[in-house]
Amino acid sequence: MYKDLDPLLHSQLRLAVMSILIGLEEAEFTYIKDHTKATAGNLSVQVNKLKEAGYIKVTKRFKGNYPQTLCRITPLGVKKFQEYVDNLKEYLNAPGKE
Amino acid sequence: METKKKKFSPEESLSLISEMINNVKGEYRQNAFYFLFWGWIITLSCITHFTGIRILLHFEMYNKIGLLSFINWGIFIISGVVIQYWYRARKPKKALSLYNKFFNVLWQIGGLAMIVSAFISINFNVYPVLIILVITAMSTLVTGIVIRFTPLILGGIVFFIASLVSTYFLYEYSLIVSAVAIILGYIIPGYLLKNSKSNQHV
Repeated sequence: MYKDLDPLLHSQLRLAVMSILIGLEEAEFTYIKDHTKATAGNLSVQVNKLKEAGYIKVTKRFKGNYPQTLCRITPLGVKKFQEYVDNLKEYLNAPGKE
Repeated sequence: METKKKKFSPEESLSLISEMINNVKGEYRQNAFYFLFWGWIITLSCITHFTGIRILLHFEMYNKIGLLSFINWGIFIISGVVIQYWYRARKPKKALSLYNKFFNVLWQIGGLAMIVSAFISINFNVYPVLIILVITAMSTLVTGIVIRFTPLILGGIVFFIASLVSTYFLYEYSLIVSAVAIILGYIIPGYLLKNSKSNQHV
């Protein structure tokens, strides 16, 4: 039924992460955690999946004495997100669909 | 937020995308601090500069007016930059939106243009205030239009009018025109932006 929808994006938390990053230059891991209300462990697993697929870029650095994990959407991620939204629209506008 | 295996419908997907995008937009409101901070700094600087010129004129110390301008603006601008740096280090942003990146660049280049135009104006014996007001007008108007915030749009227009009006005043009185323009164009919109509802802009 949803065969056209990218399985990597058709998951609540991963889609939420991508939706947040699509409008941002970059965001800290804690910022994404606050906005998605996910647990750190769960979010970390999903962020890694997106990173491995090349949809996002994750950079770790130190700011003062504190570690900071920054996430940023890649051009591939933007393309995949656009395709996902287009497929959603197509599905919703399909004949016989209310 | 759940993740695993649970299937969710395309309708739910769209609703989630829209919710997340709405959550992260509208954060320009936090930047009201900069309008208020620089608004008050420049207003105070204009007032002290005006008062200083009047005092020097009273004592007929005409050759000290240039030095007074340099010291007065130097102290206020350097203090402002130091305090802003401290404020940013104390409250680092956890996310940088594309809008905020655009505004950072706009105002940084605007600030540089103001400093360069001040030196050019002084070398050509023109009041620096006039061209600085034009640059301020442009940056304020662009910001107001992009975030769709009418008080800032009106503020930008006020700066354009103030720059034209200033040409009809003596130098020290153009500082008073500038102070009034800053109150109308920065401080009042700054307070309105600060008190506006979240997610209303951008």
